[in-house]
Amino acid sequence: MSSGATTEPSRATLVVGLGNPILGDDGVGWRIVEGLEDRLAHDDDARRATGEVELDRVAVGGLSLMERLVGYDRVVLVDAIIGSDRPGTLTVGSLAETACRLAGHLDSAHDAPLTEALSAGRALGAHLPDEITVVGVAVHRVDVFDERLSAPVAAAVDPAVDAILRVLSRKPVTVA
Amino acid sequence: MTRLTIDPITRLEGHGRIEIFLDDQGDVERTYFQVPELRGFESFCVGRPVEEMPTLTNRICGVCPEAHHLAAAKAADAVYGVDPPRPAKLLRELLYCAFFVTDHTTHFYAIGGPDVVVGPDAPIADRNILGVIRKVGLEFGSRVIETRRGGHRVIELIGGRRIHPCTSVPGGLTKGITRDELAEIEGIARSMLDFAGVSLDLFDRVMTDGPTRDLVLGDLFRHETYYAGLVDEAGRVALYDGRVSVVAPDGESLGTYAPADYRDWIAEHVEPWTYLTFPYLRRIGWKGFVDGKDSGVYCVGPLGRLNAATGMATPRAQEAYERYFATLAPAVDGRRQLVHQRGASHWARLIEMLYAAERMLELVADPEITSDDVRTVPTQAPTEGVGTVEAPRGTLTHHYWTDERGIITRVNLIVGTTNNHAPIAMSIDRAARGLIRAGVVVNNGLLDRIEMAFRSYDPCFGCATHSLPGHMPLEVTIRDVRGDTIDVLRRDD
Repeated sequence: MSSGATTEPSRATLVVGLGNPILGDDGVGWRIVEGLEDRLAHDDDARRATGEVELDRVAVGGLSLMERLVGYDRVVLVDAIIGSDRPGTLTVGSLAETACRLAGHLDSAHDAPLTEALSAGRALGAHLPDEITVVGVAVHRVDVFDERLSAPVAAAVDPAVDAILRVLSRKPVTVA
Repeated sequence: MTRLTIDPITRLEGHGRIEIFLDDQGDVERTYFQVPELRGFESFCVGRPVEEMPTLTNRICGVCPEAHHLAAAKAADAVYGVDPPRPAKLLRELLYCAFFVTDHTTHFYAIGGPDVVVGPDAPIADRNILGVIRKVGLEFGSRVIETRRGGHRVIELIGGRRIHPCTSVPGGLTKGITRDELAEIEGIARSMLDFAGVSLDLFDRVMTDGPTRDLVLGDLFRHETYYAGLVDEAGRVALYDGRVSVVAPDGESLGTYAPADYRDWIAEHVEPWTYLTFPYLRRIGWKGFVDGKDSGVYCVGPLGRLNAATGMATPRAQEAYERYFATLAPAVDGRRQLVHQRGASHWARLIEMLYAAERMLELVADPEITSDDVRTVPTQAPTEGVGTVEAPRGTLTHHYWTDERGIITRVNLIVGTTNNHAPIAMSIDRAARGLIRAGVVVNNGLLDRIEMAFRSYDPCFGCATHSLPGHMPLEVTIRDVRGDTIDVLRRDD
């Protein structure tokens, strides 16, 4: 009997942008990871400070997301957060601190919530990251099809990239 | 003065609200179920080349991109009036069957199935994949993950990418598969078939538990509606292609129709309190949220498909189909009866999983499956086209209109969950009526039972409303005859 998700070799760090890139501000996680990719390609200092990092963008949550995280020691999730904060407000915290506030990608109907999926994955012996940091950007609307971000959310992309670089370099992160 | 509030339905998407209005005796007068609609999908599509639709629509939501990809590809085939070569159709169906096994596995073990596997009376905190693992063991849990991984691998091999396939284009596919890839797919299909059989055995075992048996067989969510689903030329369940069969609640066939004629058969009722429409059978008419032969409400999805068909096209699934009907709806005076209990959807879903795995093995054995002849290049001027597949949650139809350059001018989508909108509203109403008497919630399981009613339909308001792929905070408000709020309840009360 194969033991499911257990056999993947351990890899270092993964940064995942979550969301739906055709639902307006819901796509902010994708844009931030694109910005990070660009920064790492052009900024040698940033690349040296962060070490080896793998980047991805996905539109899934729950079990599918858990399966994507198998084999990494450390993960940064980048997502839109729906709430009362001013659009564009950045939040950085652990998964436990942030999960209930996210736009829902961690808690899909057609999947187990991510925290439940992670517990299930661990119960099945999968190597899953102990350290999951969430970088969130406050948004108000994710209910209109659009490939563009609203202005205040777009303005948060660069500061979010800075914040991820600090997280990856293990420097303290302060957000406005 | 109190208000009844239901905490988030944690495994549903979008934001939902239920308003329950009571009459002057304090009994349920009417229940309203609302989900918000995401807007702008049509205008988002208009002006784009129709070739983009298979990769664009599979981004509507992360739940069933494979279904949208293939419905869009079939609609694009029709727009160009082109019939893909047989190997292309076989490969699309093979991808689709792998997706069905994967999606049904996820629902049975991680979403709706825990209600029956762990038991409906188990605490909510146990009715999830962790509770399933605790109940049936780590080995089952590992096989869930293994089955999902296999499914994603088949989708990647044929569809070019995991999760969001991209190889279906007007007239067929951009690539075929190699013999080595075929061998890998065959191994995955064998493992899936075995797991489907084991899952049906597990279902038999949990059905010996009283509360689970009641949830599946009981009358709480029994609605005698019409049913619809795609069937093959012999009237058996079809997932990728076929005609739509419609049956009446008494089992009589209302007929079959080509998906392109859907507007002759299906009309959409509009209510002022929700953006979502309520599709119904045009010939029968909209008579409100009621069941019976005079009401045009119909139901799709696993329950609807098994009722609308007369059998399954593979041997083991056919055996399972016969046992399902013999157990739940034995024939009366030689006349076939239908299964009306919504809880039976869980069983129907596993029979479909078995069928999809068996069908994969038939497809991999087809001598043409590794053919390079996978595309008929369109030559006709594009016009208008309809593409329909059975999504796991029910019949999914994409309808596109284009100008002579193939640029989209209009789009209409009827997704699986939209078809089921009226039955879902009726099940919620039933739960409320069964559990509220004289203004009092008489059963603490109200919230749970409403959620279970939802989950048996495996609803995805993600694309029904074009909504966000998140969980569904649901609020239930009970109002008296004057419209004043009268009760509040929370899950942890």
